Amino acid sequence: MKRIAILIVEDEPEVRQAIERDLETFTTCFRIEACEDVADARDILATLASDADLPGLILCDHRLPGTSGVDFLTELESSGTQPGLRKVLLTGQADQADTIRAINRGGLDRYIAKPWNAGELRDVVGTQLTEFILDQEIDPLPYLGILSDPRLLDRIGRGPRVD
Amino acid sequence: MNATSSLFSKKTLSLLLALIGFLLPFFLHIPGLSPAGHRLLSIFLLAVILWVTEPIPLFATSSVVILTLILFLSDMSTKLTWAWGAAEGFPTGAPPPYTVFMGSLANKVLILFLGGFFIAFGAAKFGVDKNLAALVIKPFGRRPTRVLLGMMLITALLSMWMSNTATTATMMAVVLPIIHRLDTSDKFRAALALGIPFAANIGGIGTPIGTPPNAIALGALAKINPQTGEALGQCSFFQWMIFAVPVSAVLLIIAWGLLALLFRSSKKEIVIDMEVKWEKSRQAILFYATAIFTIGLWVTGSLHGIDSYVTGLFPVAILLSTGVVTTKDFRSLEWDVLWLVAGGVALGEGVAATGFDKWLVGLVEWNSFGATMLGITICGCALLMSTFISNSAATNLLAPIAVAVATAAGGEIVTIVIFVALGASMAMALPISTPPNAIAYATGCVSTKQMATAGGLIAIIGLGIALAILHPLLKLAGVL
Amino acid sequence: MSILVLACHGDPDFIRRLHHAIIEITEGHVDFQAVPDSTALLDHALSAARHHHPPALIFCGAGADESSATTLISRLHEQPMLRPSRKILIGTDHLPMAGLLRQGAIHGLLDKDFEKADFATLLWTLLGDFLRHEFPEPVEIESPPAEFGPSMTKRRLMILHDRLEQVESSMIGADVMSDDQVESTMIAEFDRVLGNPPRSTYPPGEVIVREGDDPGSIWIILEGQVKLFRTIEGEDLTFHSESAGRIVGLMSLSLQNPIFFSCRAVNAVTALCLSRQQITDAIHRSPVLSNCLITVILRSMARRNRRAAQLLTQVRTLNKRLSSQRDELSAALDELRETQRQLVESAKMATLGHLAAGMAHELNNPVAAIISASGHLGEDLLSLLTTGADPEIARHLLTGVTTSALSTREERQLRDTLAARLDLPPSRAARLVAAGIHHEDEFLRLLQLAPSSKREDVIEQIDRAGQIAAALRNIQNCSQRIAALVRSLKTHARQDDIPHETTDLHTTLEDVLLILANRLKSTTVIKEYSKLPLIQAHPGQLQQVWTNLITNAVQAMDGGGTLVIRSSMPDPATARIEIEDHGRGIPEEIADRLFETRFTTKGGRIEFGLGLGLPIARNLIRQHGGDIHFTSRPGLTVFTIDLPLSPPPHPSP
Repeated sequence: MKRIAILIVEDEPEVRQAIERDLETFTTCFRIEACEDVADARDILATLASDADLPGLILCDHRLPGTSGVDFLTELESSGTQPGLRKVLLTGQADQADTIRAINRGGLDRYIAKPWNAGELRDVVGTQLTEFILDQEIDPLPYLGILSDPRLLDRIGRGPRVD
Repeated sequence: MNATSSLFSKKTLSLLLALIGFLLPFFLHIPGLSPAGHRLLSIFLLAVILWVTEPIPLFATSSVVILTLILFLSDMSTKLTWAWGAAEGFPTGAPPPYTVFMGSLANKVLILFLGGFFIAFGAAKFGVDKNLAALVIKPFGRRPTRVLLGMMLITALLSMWMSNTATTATMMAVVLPIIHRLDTSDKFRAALALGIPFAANIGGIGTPIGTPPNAIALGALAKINPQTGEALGQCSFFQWMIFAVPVSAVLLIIAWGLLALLFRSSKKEIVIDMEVKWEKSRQAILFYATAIFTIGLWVTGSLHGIDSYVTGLFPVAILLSTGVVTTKDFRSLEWDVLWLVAGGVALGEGVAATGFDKWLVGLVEWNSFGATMLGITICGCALLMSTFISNSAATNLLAPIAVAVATAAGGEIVTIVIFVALGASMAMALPISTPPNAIAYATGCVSTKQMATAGGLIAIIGLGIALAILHPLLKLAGVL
Repeated sequence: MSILVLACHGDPDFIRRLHHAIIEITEGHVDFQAVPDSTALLDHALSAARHHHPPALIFCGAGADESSATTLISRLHEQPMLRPSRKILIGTDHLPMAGLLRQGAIHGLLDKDFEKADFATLLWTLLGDFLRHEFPEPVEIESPPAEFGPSMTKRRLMILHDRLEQVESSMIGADVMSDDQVESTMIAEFDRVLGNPPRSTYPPGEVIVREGDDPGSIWIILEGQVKLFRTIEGEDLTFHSESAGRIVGLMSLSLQNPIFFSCRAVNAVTALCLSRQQITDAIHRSPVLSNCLITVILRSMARRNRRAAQLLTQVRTLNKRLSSQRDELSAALDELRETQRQLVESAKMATLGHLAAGMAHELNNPVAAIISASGHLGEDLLSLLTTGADPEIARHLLTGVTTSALSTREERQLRDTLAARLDLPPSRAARLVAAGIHHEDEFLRLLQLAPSSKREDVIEQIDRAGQIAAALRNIQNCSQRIAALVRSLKTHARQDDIPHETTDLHTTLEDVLLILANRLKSTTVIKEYSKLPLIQAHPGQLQQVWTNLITNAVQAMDGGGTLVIRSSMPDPATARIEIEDHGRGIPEEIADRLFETRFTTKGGRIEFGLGLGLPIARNLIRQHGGDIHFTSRPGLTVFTIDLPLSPPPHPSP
């Protein structure tokens, strides 16, 4: 089965580990990959493509060594190679101009400020993944244990399953 | 291990297997089976393998079945002498006209079912399902076992008119917030999570339109016996309800008792906050009126003489012409289910037309079985099959056989065929048994073990009791 | 009575600009009035409409609350008396505007940054609309309908203005007797009585009579013009030119005083010069003459009198203006001093603001990690304590784990290997890697530590203990980072007036690099430090200089590139720091002015206070007795700072 992947792009190991740990509950249904910079994130995207897994959500810091988070999101958006990928900026460091750019040109879906609240982070990730599943018309059944949005059940009810 | 390559190979393997199954009877000579019977066996094997392994969607298999029946077994095959020619050995002496098979797509059972779709569609569109749920749950109070009973009752009631899957999805959305408020260690979570799919499966038995197996069973009964020129059995919408609703009710009580017993709650009270908000637009009111009118016609069929099947056309005509169901809505209906049912009906026609049934019946000394044993065997087969494959597909395959066997054994055709539908609906021991079970399992609130224990017990106990009370109920309904 | 233009807007600068534009475009033909708020505007407009005409144009803006501008327009629109007034909404970002436009309540929209040319078109169009509505006649007479446009409107406006003037002057009273008539009668009488006395001619600029001369004659100016003046402190001061009249010297003659005003011909003048005897004769012989003469003298007197009064008023006004200008000047001077003080202050604040912003950003990550880690620590401890962990495993993990130096790529490889070899789900394997277990042997050894437990339980314990160790490690790392940041900020924020202290230049540089770490993420920093002795200096001030230079360098390289920081000792008494970037370089034409106050090359972008950075840096370095200079070409810019090991006792300002 195709798995939906969550990408975490954050250069500081402590912060990265904290995010990974906060999103631990998602590991049951989703593939979580962490990377420290944009180059590594590109590698992961290539790996996902070769494993035939779907990148569903990218959680990205802005200030990264080399390419910045917003630039990377913009690149992803304009390349059109990741249709439907939900993009979340998790940063305390983008100024207003960067944020506006991320929204207008990077197709940013959400912005979370550091320091974040674990529950809020999980909510945002859950909501965005729900949107991804609904958008991409993926069968929501395997994800009901983690994502509790009633829209998913609604989609199943109108889905192709026959009694 | 690569996920796609394994999936790919499994699909290819299934298709290959289906082709082999189809070709096999062409190269074998089975004693006692007519050439036409050989062809039917080919198509039957093809259908079995495709419906069991599902390399293509169920309804796609139906279309393949109808097409192959026409090409190999109808009068159309006489024009194909250059390819394979007409088969010999039809009991009536000649192959049936191809319209018999093609007509299965417009079988009256399908129209009845279509009527049901319109009712279900409107109910979901105008939130009737959720409002009814909120309305019905009120008198049940806050005690966990009562809440469970209330939820199961609503689910069963809705499932009588809507598909089991849609009902489960709707009601699961209602129940999940309640479940999430319970402690993760509370066993009652499993009771609630299982109660919904079980009630949906059981409720589906209640009306002819509750679930496709019912329609397939009716389709099998409506078939004209070529010898007598009469239908094999008669059962109106209301008659069905007379025997099926009590069976549903009994099964529901058993399921509730079992769940309440197996998964006791550690809480004294469960709070539910659901509000009733009826939509009052012109369209909504039009729908309410149409639904009440249609259901009224169905349950009073004997009074006015309008056939249940014809009644099915009323909501279709009314809701389409008033624009309550729009073109877009109409396109989004579950046409695949209708095709699936049609496939089963067509297969039944084929079985009867080729004398395949005679041969099949001849394989076993059915007479030694006795009526009760026959019923239990058929019902058990349906239960077992549909535990692993789709209920509808299982009924599609078993209904024609059941008709044949019942005819041969001199049993009551109607009872046996209804046993098949009942057995198919009662399969709920595994997550893969039915989509409602799959939904409940996917929420993560229930383990396979819990589901197998509860589902298995309900199926066995429930079926035992249902078998015992079905016969008198059928008598009461005037079906026998 | 004139054409009224009303305006209401919260921004006095805008009102001033609008006023100037309107006066300039209409050449002062309209009366512009600004009112402070919407109530005043409505009152004013209504009272004008009641008493004269409604205002021609009403400009509506509003102070802080922009939406009330639209409310105001709709209120104006509801007044039937103000229907002819053209209403202009100031600002184009009003939301409820569409409705007003539909009702026809708005006649024009004026952007706050309007172009004068566009505005002129708008103004003339709207004035034309108003005039055509309010004063229809001149339009019908003067302008063929096809020729409608700004120039026509302007013409109409001027005609209208003239008409208004005529009406006003007629109210004051028209001239009934003509000066020329009286004068020509008088001259004819003189000629008749005295038998055509000779005319004298004077070329332009010729002085006809000089102040102080004896009075003996009068001059009747027949052609040309004269002016009367007095010489004060060597300068000729003109008193009368228009008001000079046609008769010169009469006053002095009648009083028998020396001539009071000199008289000079402005252009070629023909005059009749008459002695006192001739005048007396003539008056005796012609009664008409005497009458005429009296009239002329009276009028001349009156005119000169009025002129004198005017001159007096002028002097008073000039004095007043002079004194107010003096006040303004002194106020401006004060303001200038205050601005200068503020500039210096704001430069200080700017550096502080930079630091605070950088600091806040820097702190976010460690704080987030600490919050997260402490939460997880709780969960894991609870889980570990309740499952009854094996002490051996816990000890091994809690003491053995050190900061991971692995890249995410390496971690991933380890995870996949571990997951495959130990048959674990990848998420579990990932956490074992995070707990410092990089090889399956390590894991198997740990399993042996607790031979009695189930494998699953041991894995769970290792996982939890590893998480605790990681959380503790993260908390420690982050706390240290925060402590370091706070330490470097402390040095930075230290007061300027403290005495020099023994300073390690490299430490000051390192502190700055730490604070700016975020900005430098994409920049490669190469440090070429030589051994430097400790020097006497203000570390905080030096950090301010480094902050400024490094920030500039990074900006010149657009955030990326390579930054070289070099230290050396060119001679035994001097420490040298060089900050080298490979950015676009400093253009030659501005290189000379780089250290001038308020010069910035970050044109257009508001970089808070950076325009003052370099001058301040130079000041600070000079206060240390050092010097700063630079060499620059595209691709290589080096700022060199030389600092004496011990600064002079009195730092040069």
